[in-house]
Amino acid sequence: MNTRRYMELFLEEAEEHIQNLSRLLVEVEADPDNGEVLREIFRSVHTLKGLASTMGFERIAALAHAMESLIEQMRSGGAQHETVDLLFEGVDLLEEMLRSGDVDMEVDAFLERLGEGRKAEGSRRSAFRELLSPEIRPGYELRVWIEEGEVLKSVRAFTVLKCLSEIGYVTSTFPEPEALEAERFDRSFVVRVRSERTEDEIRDAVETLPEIERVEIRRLGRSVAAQGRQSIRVSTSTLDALMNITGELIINRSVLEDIARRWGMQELEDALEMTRRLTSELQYVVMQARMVPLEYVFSRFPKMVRDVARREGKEVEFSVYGGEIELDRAVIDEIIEPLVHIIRNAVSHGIEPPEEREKLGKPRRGRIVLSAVKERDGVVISVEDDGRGVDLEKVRRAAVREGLVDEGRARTLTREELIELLFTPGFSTAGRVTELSGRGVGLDAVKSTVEALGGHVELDTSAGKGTRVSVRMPLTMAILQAMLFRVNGVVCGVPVSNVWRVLESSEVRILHRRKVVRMGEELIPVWSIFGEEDGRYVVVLERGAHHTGILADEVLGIQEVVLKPLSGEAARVREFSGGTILGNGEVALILDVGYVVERGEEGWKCVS
Amino acid sequence: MEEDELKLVVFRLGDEEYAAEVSQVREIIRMEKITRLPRAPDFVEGIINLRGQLTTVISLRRLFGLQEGSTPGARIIVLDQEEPTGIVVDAVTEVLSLPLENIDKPERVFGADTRFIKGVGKLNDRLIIILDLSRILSPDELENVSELRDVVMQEVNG
Repeated sequence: MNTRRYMELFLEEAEEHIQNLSRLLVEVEADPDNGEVLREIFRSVHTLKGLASTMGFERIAALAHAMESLIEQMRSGGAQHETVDLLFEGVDLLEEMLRSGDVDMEVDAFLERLGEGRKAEGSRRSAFRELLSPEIRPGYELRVWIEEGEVLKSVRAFTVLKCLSEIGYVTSTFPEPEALEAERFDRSFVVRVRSERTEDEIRDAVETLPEIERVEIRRLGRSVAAQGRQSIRVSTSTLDALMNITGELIINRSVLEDIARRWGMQELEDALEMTRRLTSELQYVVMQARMVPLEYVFSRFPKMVRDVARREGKEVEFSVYGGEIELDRAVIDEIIEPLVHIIRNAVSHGIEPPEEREKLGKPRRGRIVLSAVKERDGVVISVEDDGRGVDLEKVRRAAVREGLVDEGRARTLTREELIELLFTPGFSTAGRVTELSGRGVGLDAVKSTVEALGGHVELDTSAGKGTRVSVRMPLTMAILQAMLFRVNGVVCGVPVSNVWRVLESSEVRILHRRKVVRMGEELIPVWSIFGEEDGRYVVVLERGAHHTGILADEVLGIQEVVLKPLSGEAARVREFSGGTILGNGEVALILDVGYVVERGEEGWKCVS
Repeated sequence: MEEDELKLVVFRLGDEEYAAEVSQVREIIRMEKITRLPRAPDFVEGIINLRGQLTTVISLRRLFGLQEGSTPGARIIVLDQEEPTGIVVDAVTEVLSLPLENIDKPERVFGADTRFIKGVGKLNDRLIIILDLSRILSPDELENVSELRDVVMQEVNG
């Protein structure tokens, strides 16, 4: 057995459950009587326990088990704050054990506290038991089969319902009770029941009734498992491999096309036309597979907000919208850090302490809303708070004090310019300024990270009312499969989808002082990026029905790159649509194929 | 409170000493691998990776039409603009505060058209030409480099 592989899967799944738990605990804290959420928490802890014991992590399993028992007990009576705190602590511990890899961590002291918590919950429960609403008890659905040939079906059904109503509340049957009474059913019927008993207890109770053949029982709820699995877990390295293989396939296709052309094999060329369509489609599908819902990032924030708020004595109501919007995995990974910054700032600098808010006539609990909205050309992720906002007049004074602008200039700064100041490194990191700006820590870092991804940050604020920071990301993410090659020591890239063929430069001919390669009837212009160099290869680019060759010294292969904009003077060079940063930190330039092919066709700079 | 001195980053280019106001400078970095940008004007030295941001670097020597020289102490001064731009200088010599009374208004030294020079600082027997780098590197000015070159050189050489 490949334990490492299982280990990876375990960690991945456990991580997901822990994030899920954090989110659910925050939810239950806000709505303690929500039995459905409690049940989901229970299920998640239960699954985690199962996973851990399969892997032989006894300590983790024991911890999960103790938490499970505690939840089991609170399920019937709603959640107490102290109990939720205990569970939060438990989740933190679990997370630590998984992160550090110290699966045998000493947790006995905590287990003991969990036990005490359970006792407290127990006593509370017994006193209030009779007052409980049946709605918050867990729901089950049973399908009951009556023995074949049984003549008194209605009597048997009645016995089942009576038995169940003694150990819980029957909420509905299928077919409806009248049909059961009139025996308008075959051999089996369905009963829904709410009960504090376990699945096994309920099943046993019904199965031991006379003339009952068998009973199927399942717990009702909105777990992922219950919804039926429409998706499976795939590791990101598998996706990357898939992406790379697709790239290789495209190159290989171009090699085959070259052979077909050289040997004049029309049949093969026709067959390859189909391959071309299929590989394009494959590339599209692989890109789609890389899309990840924002929920993946968003789910970690409720807990973070809660932790920061607790530590700083703030009260915060945090809501999240738009988690279903999908972005490329690479972008998702990069966007976490900036969002952590922005949200953390909103809690620690934006939201005022509860007493201060009361004095201001605001509700004690501050509000922070994290939302994602799909716009025509991108996704806008905003963090909005109803905190103290930024007093731009104070910013104006601080800018002078910090020596960023002189007094005369400061007087003329517009609102936009003052907001812009919040993003300057010198300003936002200065401790004193941070205090009064109500914002700041690392806003410049946020800005540079987001802009490096081709995005844009905006800030809007109103003193005393709150602040909104919006991160705008382009929808067609600047991730592309590029074929990289080296010319005169510079690494250049073109989108793989625009690479038609790669030829040896020995095929280059000079025609009317222009470099060309001949492909059947077509004469393709060849140009040198630097204007004078030769190369061993010709990378033939394709755009629509048009082709242009580029000389290259070395073909480096295919790589997924993040397209970044060029700035200033460099942005005016039309031959390049941007650049990218390679794994070793080196800058590579990405050609604007549309422009290059168009100019190539005009015979521009094809002169050798 | 009226400022009575100017904070300057002093750098060398050929035989002359120039300076930029500290407020125009974001940071100063060592020369690192610059990726040449084909098809760009000659004064564009190339692109560097500045903490993940592609930053255009401009050769002030070539912009001013000076001879190329070997410059082991070369540095890149990154200007604090919306789109940060780096300029290569032969060496950054010092950061100093110069009292305003030691700075001559450019008109007094160079005559009328002094778009790019903020003044000339005098420190003992040194003359430091204070450039308005943000102005020099603005897209409008770079649009017409030869004119810019002429004006700057004319201003510098009097």
